[in-house]
Amino acid sequence: MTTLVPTAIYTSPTEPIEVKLIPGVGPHSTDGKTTQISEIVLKAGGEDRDKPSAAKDTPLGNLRAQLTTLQDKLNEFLTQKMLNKRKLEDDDIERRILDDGVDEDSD
Amino acid sequence: MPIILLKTEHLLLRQMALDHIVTIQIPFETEKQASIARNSIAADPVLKKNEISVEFIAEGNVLQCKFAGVSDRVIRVAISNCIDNIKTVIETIEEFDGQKDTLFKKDS
Repeated sequence: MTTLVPTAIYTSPTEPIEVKLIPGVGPHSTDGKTTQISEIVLKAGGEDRDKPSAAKDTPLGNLRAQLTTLQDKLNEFLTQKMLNKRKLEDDDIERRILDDGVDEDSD
Repeated sequence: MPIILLKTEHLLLRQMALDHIVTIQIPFETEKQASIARNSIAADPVLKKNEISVEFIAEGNVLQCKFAGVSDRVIRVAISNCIDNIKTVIETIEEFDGQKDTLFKKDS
């Protein structure tokens, strides 16, 4: 059976060298980690009514499952980049306050 | 005063550079499937064109989606939404491509 593998490449000013993301070795499923409803809602007994149907054992079914894994990897990767940027900004404010004795919040 | 405005404008333009880029390659079984997927998702208009640009190209049996945005946050939202749509297109192709044409009648 033909295997259709989706891939993604990321670049940005902070990441000038290309970062390649691939689904990798499975198992892959259409039930993505980052695309489910909130954990809080699930714990409260909520039900995901938009849950995707399971992938068939066909090239397109496997592509849909692998694409879900790639989507999870992209979401996790970009979320981490967002957190890193925020930490750098927080650290910079802290450094400026400590170095210059300037309170950013003061008038 | 006009000089100050120009400087602010220039600063804004620099800040709004679409320099966070993700390119996704999705291979399909056939050229026709890649073309159906491209035509289906390319119909959605991009809302904030100053923050994100999206390009879809079908080359042979591969659909290429290029996202260029002002930040990781902006491209994350656009990519995840687009992949959700592409997964729906894939499922639809799998269910209906190659099937005999069916005329559905509206219930009276």
